[in-house]
Order: sequence, then structure tokens, then C-alpha cells
Amino acid sequence: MNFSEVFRLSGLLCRFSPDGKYLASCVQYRLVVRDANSLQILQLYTCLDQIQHVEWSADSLFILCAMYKRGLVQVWSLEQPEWHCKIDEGSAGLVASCWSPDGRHILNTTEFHLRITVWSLCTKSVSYIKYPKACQQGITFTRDGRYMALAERRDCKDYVSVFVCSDWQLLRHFDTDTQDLAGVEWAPNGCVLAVWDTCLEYKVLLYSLDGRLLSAFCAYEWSLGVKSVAWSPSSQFLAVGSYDGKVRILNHVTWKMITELGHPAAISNPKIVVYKEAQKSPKLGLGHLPFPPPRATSESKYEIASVPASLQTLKPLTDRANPKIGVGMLAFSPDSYFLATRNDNVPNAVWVWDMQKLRLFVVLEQLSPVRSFQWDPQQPRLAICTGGSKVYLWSPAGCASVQVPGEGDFPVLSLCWHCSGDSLALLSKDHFCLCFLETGEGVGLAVRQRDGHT
Amino acid sequence: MGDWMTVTDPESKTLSQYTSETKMSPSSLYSQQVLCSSIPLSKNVHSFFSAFCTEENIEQSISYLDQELTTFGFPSLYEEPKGKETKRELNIVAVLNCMNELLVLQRKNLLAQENVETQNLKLGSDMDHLQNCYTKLKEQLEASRREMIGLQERDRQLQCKNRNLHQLLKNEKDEVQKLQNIIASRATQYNHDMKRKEREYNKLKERLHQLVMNKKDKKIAMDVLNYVGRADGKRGSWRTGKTEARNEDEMYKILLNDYEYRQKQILMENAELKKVLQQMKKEMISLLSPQKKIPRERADDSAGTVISDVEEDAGELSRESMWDLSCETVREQLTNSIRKQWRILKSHVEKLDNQVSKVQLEGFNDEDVISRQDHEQETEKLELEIQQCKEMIKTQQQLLQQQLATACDDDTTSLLRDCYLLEEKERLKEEWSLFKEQKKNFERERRSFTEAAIRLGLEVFLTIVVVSHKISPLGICHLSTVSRCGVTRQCNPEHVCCFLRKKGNTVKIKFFHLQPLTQDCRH
Repeated sequence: MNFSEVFRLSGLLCRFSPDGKYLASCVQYRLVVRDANSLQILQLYTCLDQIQHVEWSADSLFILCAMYKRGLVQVWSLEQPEWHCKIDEGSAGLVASCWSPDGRHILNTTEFHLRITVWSLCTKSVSYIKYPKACQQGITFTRDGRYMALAERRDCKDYVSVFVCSDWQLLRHFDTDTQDLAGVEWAPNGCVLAVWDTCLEYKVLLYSLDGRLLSAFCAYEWSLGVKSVAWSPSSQFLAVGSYDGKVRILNHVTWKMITELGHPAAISNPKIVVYKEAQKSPKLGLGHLPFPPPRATSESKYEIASVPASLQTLKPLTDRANPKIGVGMLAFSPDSYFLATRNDNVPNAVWVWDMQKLRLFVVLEQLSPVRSFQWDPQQPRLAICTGGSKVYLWSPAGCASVQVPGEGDFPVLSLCWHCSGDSLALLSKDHFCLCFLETGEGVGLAVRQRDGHT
Repeated sequence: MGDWMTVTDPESKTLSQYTSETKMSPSSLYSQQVLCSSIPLSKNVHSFFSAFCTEENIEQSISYLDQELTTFGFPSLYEEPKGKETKRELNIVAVLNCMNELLVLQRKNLLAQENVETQNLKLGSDMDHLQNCYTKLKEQLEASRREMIGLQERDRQLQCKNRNLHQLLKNEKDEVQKLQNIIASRATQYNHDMKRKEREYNKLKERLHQLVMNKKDKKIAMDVLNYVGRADGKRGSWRTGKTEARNEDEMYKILLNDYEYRQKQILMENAELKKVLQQMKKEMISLLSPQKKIPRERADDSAGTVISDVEEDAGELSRESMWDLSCETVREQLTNSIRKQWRILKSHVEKLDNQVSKVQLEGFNDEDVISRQDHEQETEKLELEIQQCKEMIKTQQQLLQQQLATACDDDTTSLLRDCYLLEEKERLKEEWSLFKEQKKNFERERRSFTEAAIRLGLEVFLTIVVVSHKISPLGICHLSTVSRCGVTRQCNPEHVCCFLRKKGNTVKIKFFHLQPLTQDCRH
């Protein structure tokens, strides 16, 4: 495992290009494009204001930089550095900006979600979409980039519109039986749309591409409902994480729940491996105190805790809104074999579930709350960061805790994988660095002693 | 009253013989009777009076009466004696007074007696009354006790009910509390969202206000250097009805593709599962078919069905292999046949189990069949043996270690030494044998080398030697003869030793270094 040197960054804006060749990072109002392997600076662009959002187009030819305060979007071309494009939303304001899947249209959401303006880079045409819904996940594109589903709200009712991305024609428009739609997401195969309601009402609706309601799922009433939703990459499963601390898996044939995965704070099944992060204490020889005294090493390693093991829980404040309970993070591994979850009232632990057997496989407990985790796009390898200066990697072969080298701390606030899975970008508040993983390198620094257990 | 019981003959005349202490009244019995019965004295007066005093015993009766009266405290009946006259004159006045007194007394006594009698009666009736009261009260007490027990029982039941109701109430209260909590959390979420919305709304109002006031509107525009070509390289097209239709078609095509793909997957899965079922069926049939030979002895129904089934299934198999389609009927047939086979297998296994248990119960004394108990006993015995052996080995090991570690007796040390010596001897023997083998190999090699050397050019050399030394050579010996003499040194093929016999039969051995005549000699 090699670490690159540390570069400046602002706003956690560091993105790999979709083709994996380049890496874009922002420092205040400058956009720096580097080569993804050598980290050599290839291009440097200057924007008019502090950049708040950066996005690559799908064909990796263009980058957009959005500056919400000024209501500006600037688009840069990699092939032609002198090409420029500036979109000014003016008095309409700007709250969100994203590319369309063909890489030639930009969708700007104006302030107060008054409308979505579709700017075209090919033609002079401009389209407007009225009444988009201001919710957690209101826009979703299919994986093949053909269709876009948009959540709308008119006259206190929720609707979903399906647009054809090639010509922005409205394909379908249907209302949903939700109180207050919170999110929409296409299945990876592009044929089913999952729609879920606000957390005050547990409801997950599944619509076919042509607008027919395939199924409605409601696990329970009254208590707080859906917190997070994730499709498995094979479109076989839909994982719904809710505030009661459980994940319910729906199958794609009957759209009924096949299992419920609970997150108890005490693990008693001996087949489950529990990794606990432990601080490595520096060894001091008796009678020989070195001068100057060594800095307390913040090295840590994983220890296999014996089952039954108990995890640290956090008692949430019940009289506040958006309580820190329930399954807030869900992610499937790229081969759909594993599901990684985080239960917000056990914030230090990441739970990895085996999807073939539909049971808990491994629990990783860190010393501080988990900030984010992401699966390697190519293989079942999970990278976790907790805000400390370490990055944690887990794979079925084992897990490792790696300290980011360098003087001073490097608090890893976020991370993102390269599309090939060979490198990992670690982002802190003001810096970022790249971590190169050797292909085929086993992550076996903490080998588990399973001895034939499956 | 001084009741003195006398047993006297009232007709006896020896009254005077009796002293005053043992006062006996001749008619005391009668007098008592009269007192008790309180019969009026009128009838028996005469008889009574004549019984006590007669014409003859007047003086005696008077004196007796006087005595009695004086003892009772009455004044004497006699007059006061005048002079020395022994005979006392009867005082009539005193007698009459005494009689009066006695009558008064008698009346008093009768009255008293009546009173006492009435009191007695009263007490008697009171007693009866009290007895009745007592029994009544006892009954009441019993009744009230019973009632009390009944009431206690009821009270207990009611308390139980009360407890249950309390429990229910508690549960309901908990439920209510839970629901209230849920409602509270929902309420906070609602409030939070409402506040957020209101803030947004306020901002909107302000902005609207601003816009209304602001007349110069910033131009909303896009400024681009040049328009970029489309990603797919094609030209843009107008939006028409055709494009709409095309989009619809595309959408349905995608959906259909997805369904077809899924259907294919499911078909494949079905085919695999069917194959597995077929295989299972075949195996089950093969498992059950050996029964064809056995059931000659026993008239089992299952065997008969097995045979018939086997025939049936054979036919089915051939049929099914022709149709490998997912026909409803074919599917049903397959599942039904599998179920049948499975049932037969199950019954077969159950029968075997029964047989085994029957054998155990009857204590079947077949040599092949070992009863479970015997088996268990055997295993226990073996386990014990193993334990014992293990312990023995342990103790032996311990002893060995002790011996090695600590100082032992001379006998044992010498024995050990002998043992070691033996070991060493054996080792040496082995080495010696190895050594001998090696020697043999070397000799063989030497032989071959010397032969080669000899063949090629020794004669020349030797003739020279002979000439110089004037000694007749014995001959060129092979190294093998040399070795027999015990010389094993320098197994060098370049050396040749010649026997040079002198006169006197002494053998001299001389080593001659072979000169390399040709390169071919040495190898």
C-alpha cells in the first residue's frame, strides 16, 4: 500500500473521472485536474467564485463547477482547455446542479426549487421543469442513461415524472400514494423505480418503467419509518433501512420481504467474527526512558473479540427531530454478495451481512464513530473512515487499519474509490491524498481464525 | 337444723336410756316426712301425738321435751324448783309459750321452705332457658363461621380478579404510554418540518418582495464559446408525435427485454430443479428396488407397491424424457411420483427401525446382531482399557523422566550404560557395514581402473623396472590380491603395486606410480 503526497483541497471536492484517467480537485476557486496515477497536474482552471460542487460528465470530457452563492455554473473541457461555458441563473438562484447522462445537458435547480432548468450544450434550447420536489433524492437517472425520474409536488400531492433523456420528452406522469415523498431511485436494470415516503410513514412503492404500480410495502405503522434505501447491483434485492434499527430485504420476483436484518448491540452467535479496533500501546523499556519521550503512537490494530461481544451504543435524545437511531447507511458490494450497514445508535460499528446466506457475517467496531464507508467498485472490499487519521479496509480475507503517513494528523473525513479499485482518495478538510493498493494484495493483516467456518 | 338420723324402734320403751348427745327422737322419721311433704297435720295428728306420749310416759316425755327445748334456747318447762323437791312442777305458762313459739317457728320455716322451693323452681327454669340460649347461640356461631368462610373465599376471588384487572390496567397504561411516545416523536418531527417549511416560505416571501421592488432583472443566460456536438454524434431532432411514439416503443422494448431475460433465468432454474428431482427419483427407485428379492419371505404390502411403482416409473421416465416441456400435467406427475417414492422410502426406513427395536426387545440371540446394551458395555470396557493404558503410559513416562533427571542406583546406571553401549555397538555395526559396502564399491572401481591401465601400457613400464632392479617379478597383481593382504590405503588407480618376491619367500610390496602413458588410462 502506497500513499501519495498530500495536496490541498477545499470542500471535500475531489472526484475521479468516470473513465478513471483523471482526478479533479478544488482549492477554493481553482479547479485542478490531475492524472489519476501520477497525480501530475494536467490542467488548471479558475472559476469566478468559490466552488461548491464539481461533477464530471459521463464521457469524462467536461467538468462542471457550480457556485451556488453567485448562481453560476462554469463548464470546462478537457480536450480543449480554452473552451469555456458559463451559465448564470441570475435572480433565480441556484441550489443544485448536475449533468444529464449524455454529458451534454446541465440540470440546474433554482432556489426554492421553483424549477429545474435544462441547459443544452449542443443547441440553444432551454427546457424548464416546473414544481420539482425539494426532497432527499428527487432526481434519479437510469444506469444506461435513458430515463430520468423526477419527484414533483402539485396541490399538496406527490407525482413522479419520467423523462426520456435524449429529447427531454415526458414519457410518463403518475401520482404516488405517498404522504410526502422523500426519494426515488431506479433499479440498476432500469425497469423498476423505488419510491419511498417520509420517515413519518413507512411506505415503499415500486413502479414499473411504464408507470404501473407493482407493489407497495409497509412494515409497520406509526413509528418512524424508512431512513435509507439501496438497490443491489444485480437488481435482485432492495434493502430498506428504517428507524427501528432493522433492514428489510425485498426480492425482485414477488416484491415481498424475504428477511429482516436486526442490529442488536450484543452479538452472541459464535459464527460471527467481531473485529474491534484497539489502540497499540507503545512499548517502553523498563529503566530506559528515551529522551525526548516518544509521541504516543496512534497506531491501532484490529483484534478479534470473543463472542459474546457487546458494542457501544448511543442513547439518542428522544425529544429531538431526526433522532440518531435506525439504519442510516446502506451499501451493497459490487457482486451483491455483501451488504454493509450502519445502525446510527451503534455509531462505531459497521455490520457486514452475507447476502447468500442472509445472515450477519462480520462486525467491525472502531474507536470513533464511522463517518462513511464505500465498497471497492470491482471486488468485495470495504473502505471505512471515522474522522481519525486512519483508513480501514475489510475484505473476506481479513481487515487492516492503516495509518495515513505524514507529519501531523490527517483526519480522513471522506473517501472515494477509483473505478478500477486500484486506488482510494482520502479527503480531509483541507487536504487529500491518494492511497494506491496493489492489485491482488490480500488485506490480511488481521487474519481471522475461522478454521473452516463458512 | 340438727337432723340426727336415728334408727330406733318407735315402739321401744327404753327411751330414757339414751343420752342427750345421741338424741334420738322416736318419731324423728315421721317428723321429717311431715316437714318435707308438708301434709297438713290434721289427719295424722292423733296418731302422731299418741305415738310420742302416752298415759304412762308423761313425766319422761315432759323431761325429754324440756331437755330439747332448753337445748333450743327455750325457757324450761318446769317451774323453778322450790325447796329440795325432786319432782318439778310443770309450768303451764312456759309450756304454752313454748308451744306458741314453736308454732311461730313452724310457720316461719314453712314459709322459708316455700320460698326456697319457688327459688329452686325459678333457678331450674332459668337453667333451662340458659341451656336453650346456649344451644341457639352455638348454632348461630356455627352458621356465622360458615358464612365467614364463604365470604373469605369470595373475597379471595375478588382480590384475584382485582389483581388481574390491575395488571391489565398496567398493560394498557404502558401501551398508552408507548403510543404517546410515538405520537410525541411524530409531533416533534412534524413541528420541525413545519418550522423548516415556514422559514422557507418566509424567505420566499422576502425574495418575492425583493423581486417586485427590483425592476432591473439580471439577465439569465448562458454564455458559451461554441456549441458542442452531441455525445452520440447524431443531429438533434424535433419533438414530434413520432418521437413520442418512438419513445413509448423504446420503453416497452426495454421492459419486455427485462421480462424475457428474467423468464429465461427462471426457466433455466426450473430445468435444473427438474433435473435434480428426476435424479432424486431415479436414485430413490434404485434404493428401493433391491427389495424385489427379499419380500418373498415376508408378505409386505410395501414391497408389492415398490415393484409396481418401479414399473410405473420406468414407463413414466420414458414418457417424460420425450416431453421435456413444462406442462402442467408433466410437472404434477413428477412431483406426485417423487412424493410417492419418498413415502415408500420413509415407510421402509420406519419398518427397519421397528425391526431393530423389536430385535432389541426380544433379545434376539443372533451372532450377527449385537444388542445395543452389549455394544454399549463393550464400548465402556474398551474405554476403561484405554484409560488404563493411557495412565500406564503416563506413569512409565514419568518414571523414565525421573530416572533421566535424578541420580539413579548403580545397578540401574550400569544397566543404562549397557543399554547405551549396546545402542552404540549397533550403530557402529551399521556404520561398519556401510563402510564395508563402500569399500567394496571402491575396490570394484579400482579393479576396473587397474584393468584398463594394465591393458594399455604397463608391460612396457614393468620391463624397464625389471631390467633396472634385476629381480624377477612375480607378476602384475591386481589390486584385489593386494587388498586381501589387508592393504587398503591409497585406493588410487594410479598406483600399482607389484609383488616382488625375493628368495626366501618374503614378499615385498612396492608401490609404483602409474605414469600417464595415454590420457585414456585414467578415468
